[in-house]
Amino acid sequence: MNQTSSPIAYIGPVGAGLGFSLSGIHVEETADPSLALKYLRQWKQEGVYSIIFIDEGLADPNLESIRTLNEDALPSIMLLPNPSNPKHTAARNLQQLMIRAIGSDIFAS
Amino acid sequence: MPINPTRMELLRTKKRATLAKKGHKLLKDKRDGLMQEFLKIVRDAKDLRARVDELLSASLKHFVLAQASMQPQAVALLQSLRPYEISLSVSQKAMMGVTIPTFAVSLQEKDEQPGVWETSRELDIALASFQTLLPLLLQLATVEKTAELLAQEIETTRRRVNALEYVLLPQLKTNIKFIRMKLDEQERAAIMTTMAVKRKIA
Repeated sequence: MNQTSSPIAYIGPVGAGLGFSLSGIHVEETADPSLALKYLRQWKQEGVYSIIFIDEGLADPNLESIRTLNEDALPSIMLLPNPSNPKHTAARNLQQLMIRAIGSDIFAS
Repeated sequence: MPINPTRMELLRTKKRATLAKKGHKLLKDKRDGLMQEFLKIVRDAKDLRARVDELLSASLKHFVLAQASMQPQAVALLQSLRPYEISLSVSQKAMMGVTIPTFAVSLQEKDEQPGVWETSRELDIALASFQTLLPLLLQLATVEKTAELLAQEIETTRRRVNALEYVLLPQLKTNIKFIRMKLDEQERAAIMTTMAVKRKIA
């Protein structure tokens, strides 16, 4: 079992990270998706964080790169919805994962 | 690649075909097992994701209200104080040859806490809702990661199964047939030669 000292990070729009930062999670606030991707690449390379939460609005333009970064066991990059502008990217990701693995989304109704 | 039509080669090819058939069956069983596990995980992920989305949205709304009810300086002070310390345990388990991380979180209050007068009631509600949400977020991270890794493994296993089923096994079958035909031909030629020799002697 590994214990990490600063294990979780959050990348989100400005003003959305208060809950995360108060809970001791490292927060980076930005409105720029390319900067968000830069953080992700840097953290993946350094292996600092085990879990990285990212706002789906910031993740949306970089989905392919995020999918590649998320291929290894760690870090786990997780998309979080933006309540003011929900895009359901995570749900779509899960659908694509099913299509990749099984050939079709059998839970789609 | 040219094939040497000898008995040794026939035996070797037959052995390879038997091994490939066994491997094919094992990989097919693995693929089916992985698919069963994957479907279970995806169902869990969908339910959990819906719950987390709902709770997260509510929690973030609480935080917006809390921020609105507090002075910006007080919010900045709180952020710099970081009243909680988070620690995460990452363990790994193997599922059908796939290494999957599992996360467990513990949240500890720091000694240095903001005074009651520095925080609003909304902030307490928001923090409480966020602390309920945090374990669920980690559970979702585990489940979604598992789904991702299983999907990768299913894809790889399916490719291997297909390669065995549609490339290697038919190729070995063709090779065995070819060697057998050649050996039969050689046998017939040998019989014909013996008969011709016998006829000449007689």
